[in-house]
Amino acid sequence: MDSQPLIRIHQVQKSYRLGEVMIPALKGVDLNVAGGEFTVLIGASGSGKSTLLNLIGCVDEPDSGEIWFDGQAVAALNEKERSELRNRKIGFVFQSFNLIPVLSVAENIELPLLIQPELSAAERRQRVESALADVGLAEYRHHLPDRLSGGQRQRVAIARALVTQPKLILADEPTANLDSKTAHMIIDLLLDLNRKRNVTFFFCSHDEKLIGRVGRVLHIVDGLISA
Amino acid sequence: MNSFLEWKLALRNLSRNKRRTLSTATALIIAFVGIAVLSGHVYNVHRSVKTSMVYGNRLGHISIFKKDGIDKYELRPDLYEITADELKIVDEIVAGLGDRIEKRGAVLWAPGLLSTGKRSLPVLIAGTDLGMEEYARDHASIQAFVPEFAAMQERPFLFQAVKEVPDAISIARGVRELLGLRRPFGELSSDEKEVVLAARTRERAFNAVNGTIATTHMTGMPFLEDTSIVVPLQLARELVQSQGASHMILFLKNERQTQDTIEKLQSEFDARRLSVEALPFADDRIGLFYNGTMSFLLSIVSFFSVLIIGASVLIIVNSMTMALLERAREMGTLRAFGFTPQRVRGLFVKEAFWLAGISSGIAIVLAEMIGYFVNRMHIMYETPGIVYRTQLRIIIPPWIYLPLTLVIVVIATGFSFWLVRRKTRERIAVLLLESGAAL
Repeated sequence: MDSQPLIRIHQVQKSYRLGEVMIPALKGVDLNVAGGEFTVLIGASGSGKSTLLNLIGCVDEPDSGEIWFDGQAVAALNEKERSELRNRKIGFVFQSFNLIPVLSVAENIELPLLIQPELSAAERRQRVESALADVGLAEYRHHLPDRLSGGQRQRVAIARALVTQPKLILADEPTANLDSKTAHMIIDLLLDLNRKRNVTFFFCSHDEKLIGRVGRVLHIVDGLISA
Repeated sequence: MNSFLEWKLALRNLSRNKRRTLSTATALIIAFVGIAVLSGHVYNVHRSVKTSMVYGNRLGHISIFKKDGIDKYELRPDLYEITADELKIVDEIVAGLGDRIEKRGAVLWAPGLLSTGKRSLPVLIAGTDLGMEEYARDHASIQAFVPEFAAMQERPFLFQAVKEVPDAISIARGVRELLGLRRPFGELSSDEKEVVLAARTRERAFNAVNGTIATTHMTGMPFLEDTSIVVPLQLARELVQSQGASHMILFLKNERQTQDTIEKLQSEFDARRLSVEALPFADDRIGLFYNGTMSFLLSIVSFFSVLIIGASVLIIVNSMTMALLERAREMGTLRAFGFTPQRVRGLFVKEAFWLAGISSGIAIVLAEMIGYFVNRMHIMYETPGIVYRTQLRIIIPPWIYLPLTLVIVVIATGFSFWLVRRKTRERIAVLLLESGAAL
């Protein structure tokens, strides 16, 4: 594990407007995540876990407070730099997979690489094959997503998150749409990738059963984190 | 991102929601075909009316009149006729323009009477240069663009008849009806064919000449059908006792040079202090029927075009809005992977480009097929202001496909650009929460 925190969050607040009322989602969160860590953020629906994940992933902005990613203040980045940061340093795994239906498994995985101009087609192919092998879906490379089961789709999504060789993979309830057996297989896969590739994983879940399986567990209640 | 992959991805996305793609494409195709077919009809009417006027009725591309002669010649021919001396100078100037003039000839109008001995009719006698008559009467464009008009012209033509009968004249079909000469010319007695033409001379005296009805012609227009008489120029000159002309007619090789030729002529006329003016075919005082027909037709076509375009744009916008909004989550996903708003927009705009391009291709084929089948059906219709029935023809000028395709592409891509830009300005976290689209 690296000693320098990959993510540093200081007094982050975020509220949402619901009609005339402002709903506070995060009420001054402080958090450090070290590189190579496997962290799960557990909380009930509406506790603010997805909001925090979105802020870490630079897909949303805090109302106040500061977020540093890999030593860089996120607020100081412009739109293009944030896009670059998301593309090269962060991988996303969504609860509902978010695969592009008209692209094959391999093409879906290749998608984030297409905006990295320094990669040749051969390099892209090699990285896709490696990611496919990591998630055990090599034989499904030409399938369209609608031909896959939920577990397989989530593995494709994980491969897509891995393929850019990011420093951090964010997963928002990656097992919520899966049966418990498949969910455990996905968790096993993520843990295995964390060990093999030393990628930092940060994911949120409301599943208390995961507590015993991961390195670091954080609880979030009403927009505040407790260890 | 590799541009080829972007285009490939955009093309594949069209197959995502086949029903929606089909409905958007249908709207694009209907708009395209509707306007193309309407344009094809207008183009054909325009071409046929113009040809029947320029060549069939020998109005030419340019007419040269004495200044104000177009309005006042009939009242005071003695003042507003181009004299023989002036005609010579005009002819020299026109000849100086070189080969842009394909044919020129003088015309002498003379309002007068035609008498068979039993019956007299007021007529408008047009003494015409026979060389010009030969050039224009059976011009290839008449056969090509107004075959109905060509089919109704009787042979021999006047320029052919004068070779047998020196004082041959041609009467309009309506005049023939009024004279009761319904049998074929071969069956008419010489008494029936011999007529006297009378008119006022330039000296304001009354004069008459003999003529022989040798053939008929058709003007196509009701107001001329019962008055038009065409005679050799020399016979008309003998009748009014003048060597001048009411006007001169020019036929151009390239009608696009009309305005330029008029400017050149007018500057020469002015330099030589000639009191004449060159007028284009489209001048209201010459091509009134043509202008009136085209204005009427264009107003109808504009009305229907606005209806078609309006309805189609609404369908296109509605269909594309649905198709794009249901993919908001996909936009969010692409943004999360590091696609900039510009890249996301580019992908969707390319998709709209494919859709518009493919739809335009299908529409071109469809429009051509409609044209082909309509033309084969030989649908005849009555046109107000024309005495013969014309065939409904859809001949779509190929050049119209380019601007139409551009309009369709601009509507589709422009709307797509605007809508995706609006969506990609939203927070990515919000886009990711939208329903639908990604699997």
